[in-house]
Amino acid sequence: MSEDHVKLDLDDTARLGLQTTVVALSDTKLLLGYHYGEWTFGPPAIEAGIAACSMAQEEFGHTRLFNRILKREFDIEIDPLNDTRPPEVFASIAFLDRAFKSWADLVAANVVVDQALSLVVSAFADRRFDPIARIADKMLLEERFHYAHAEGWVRLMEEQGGAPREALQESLSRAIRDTSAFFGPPGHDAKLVAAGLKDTDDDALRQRLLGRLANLLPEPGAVGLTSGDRGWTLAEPLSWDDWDPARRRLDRGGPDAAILDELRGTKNVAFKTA
Amino acid sequence: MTDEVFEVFCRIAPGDPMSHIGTLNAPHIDLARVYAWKIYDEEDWSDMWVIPRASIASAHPAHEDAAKIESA
Repeated sequence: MSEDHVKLDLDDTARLGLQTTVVALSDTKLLLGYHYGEWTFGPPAIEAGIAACSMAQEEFGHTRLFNRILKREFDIEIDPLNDTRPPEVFASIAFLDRAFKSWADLVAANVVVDQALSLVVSAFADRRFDPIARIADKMLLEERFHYAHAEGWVRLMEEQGGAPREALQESLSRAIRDTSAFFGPPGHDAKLVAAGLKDTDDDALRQRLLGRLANLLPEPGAVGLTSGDRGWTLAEPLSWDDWDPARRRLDRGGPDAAILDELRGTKNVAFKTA
Repeated sequence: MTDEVFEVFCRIAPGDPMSHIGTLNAPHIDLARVYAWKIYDEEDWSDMWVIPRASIASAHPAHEDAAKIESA
């Protein structure tokens, strides 16, 4: 345990909330990086494949930073190549569980999932939990290009209309619901805010994300958003009865075993050097 | 929507002349900016510009654009 963490003097609830947040950031960025990497080949433009490959490298780098925090601050070791956790304990956003069907899924992950993770990191950026505050600025600088890429593709597919627009709307609808679940029931992170670790709670971050998406999309209703007293929300609200706070998700499944095998190098165990 | 060709110019140190380092295809300027940064990030650039090739006019007297200037 580091000196920084001892100084925070957190109670068990706040400490567990902080730990599960870091695990969720690490797991989700690992899966997001996998999907970006997968679309190095097969994108609609060579330049888009290069951008996807570059974003994959950055997400894997961020995962490594979060894993280092987990080791130092919580004595939890996650090594993607030697990770034996079953899919059902992964704390990744459910939208990333399966192989992407088309480029529309990648753009939806880019604009919804990636942006949600950045919003969570930004809430820690200048607060008391120094391990995240120290890495946040550079991470968020890299993420600005991820958002620019996502925004550019959303605008393009909306302008194309027809099948590209319909595919994007279908992907966005799923990504938005799964990512809304990631932010959890209102008030679940009240102790982290009260302890001065975050400057904004997850409910407000979710509203910020949905508001940004509604501003970007010409027809927010087509992706399941509606406008009300509290700004933009889901037209069909989530039920929190099955929400798992340790995994920050409602869906009880997990990433496909085939995806985890690829991330772990299962087929190449014989060639491992350590 | 069809792609445009963009020319990419960079410099390493502030004050250095901008150098042409390559081209890329993109449907609009916003994606061209992202692609330029992701494709040509091999140096620690202090500046990077992307310019639609269609916006560049030749100033050489032997080229068509210059001829237009002469006739104006």
